[in-house]
Amino acid sequence: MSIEILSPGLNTTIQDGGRLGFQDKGIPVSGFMDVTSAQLANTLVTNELNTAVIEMTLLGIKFKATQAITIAITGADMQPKLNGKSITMYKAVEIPKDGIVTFKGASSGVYGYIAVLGGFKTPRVLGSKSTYVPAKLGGYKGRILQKGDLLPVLHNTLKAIKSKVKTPNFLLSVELFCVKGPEWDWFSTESKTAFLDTIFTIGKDSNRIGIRLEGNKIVLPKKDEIISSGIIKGTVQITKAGDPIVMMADAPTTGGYLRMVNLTQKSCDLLAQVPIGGKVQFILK
Amino acid sequence: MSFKVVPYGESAFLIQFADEISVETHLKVKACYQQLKKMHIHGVHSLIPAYNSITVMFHSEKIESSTLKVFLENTPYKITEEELTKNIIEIPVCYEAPYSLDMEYISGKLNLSPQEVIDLHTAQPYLVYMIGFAPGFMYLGGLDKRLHTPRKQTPRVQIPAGAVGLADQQTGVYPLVTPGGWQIIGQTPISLFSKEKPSLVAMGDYVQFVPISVAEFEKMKKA
Repeated sequence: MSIEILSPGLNTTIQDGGRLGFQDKGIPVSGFMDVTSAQLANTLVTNELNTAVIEMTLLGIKFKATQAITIAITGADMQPKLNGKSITMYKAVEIPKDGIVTFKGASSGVYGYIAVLGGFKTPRVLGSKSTYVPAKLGGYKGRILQKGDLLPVLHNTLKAIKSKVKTPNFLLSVELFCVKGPEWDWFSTESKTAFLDTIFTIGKDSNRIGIRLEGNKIVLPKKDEIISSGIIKGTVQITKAGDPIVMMADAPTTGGYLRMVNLTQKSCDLLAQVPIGGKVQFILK
Repeated sequence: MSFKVVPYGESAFLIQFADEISVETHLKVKACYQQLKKMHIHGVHSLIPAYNSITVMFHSEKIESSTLKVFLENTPYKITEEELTKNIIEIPVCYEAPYSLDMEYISGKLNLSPQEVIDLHTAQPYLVYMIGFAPGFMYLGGLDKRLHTPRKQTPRVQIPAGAVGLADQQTGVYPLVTPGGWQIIGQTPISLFSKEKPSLVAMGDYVQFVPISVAEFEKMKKA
């Protein structure tokens, strides 16, 4: 049983709940960019929450099911179709043998997820099936999916959940909830106010490592860097140029920029789905 | 032992030691990290020990953050013989062409012969303060002042895995093929990072570079 990739989309990878426990070796956690959407897809097909799924970025894939499978599609709306007919998202659907599923570019959101009932039979590397491309870890041969790849699917006789869950509305402008970061107190009152009052724009170099924000430059304190220390998903660093970068799934394990705030997990999920050019504002919890 | 435990996002704590890079602080971090690893606290899934801090990541649904905080604050951490033991790991390095991309430049810039650069670089073992930034990347301390060199003006687009470089007061090895601005003086044939062995070296170890010939490099690379 497998899924044959007929068209690979953009930066499509296998991701799961992440590679935990190896951060002392410098290995990023990786895993789903939008945890809520990915876990929802797994829930719909009765998988364990952190089962590996396909994560698509802005442009979806085209695949053929070599056997009948049950899938659920969540996240960015890439107008999925089965043999030319629209598929309902946020609901488990059966794909017959030789069925061809196509996706388009995302009309809302950034990351789209495909969960398969039973999950993918790709190897677990250092405890996780997540792909980390720079070190060729996990996923399908440690890389982005390509045309012709055959992703083995685990057979499972369980029945999927019948109900459809509510489709979220991914917006172009969101409020991000955060808590004070380790170096919050280093900043002046004016800098803190400017940070919370600014509506930032998502910059073009945003990716799975981090989301770059553009807007008013944040004035840094005199001591504008720290002795290299731990970085986690949701940490908002302020670069020496005064621009915030929100560290995401593939973030390096350590860094030296000031850590001003930390996003909540829900806000990380929300942010992941805001495209380049979208607007965000930070709200201190 | 002086440290404080501060919240770091919703599901991590940061244990902060003195605001300095020193062997003394490093030993405290190492002792604390070793203790935490041995304790296997339910709900704590990952630790990031650094120069003067440890990030403790946990599953907020498995352990109450206030409970963990009290626990981290009150756990006794002692520097034992184990922390003071010098675990020296030898890393073979070929300092000859074609593996020493910037040796000629460095040699001219520092006014040292290539052999003097090699002798200084291999004179003593370096303390691994931490692993971070990239898989298997070691932050080494103790580079001889005579080898302090500024980074390249324009970073190379691609540096081979195993390249040994100098940058300001640091020396290190690139574990993976990456872009980078370090001055490359040699290359190791051994892998510092692989799936099977995510890091050959751990924080707190010492690394001793050992010069090898091109022939030895090629032999070891094939092995």
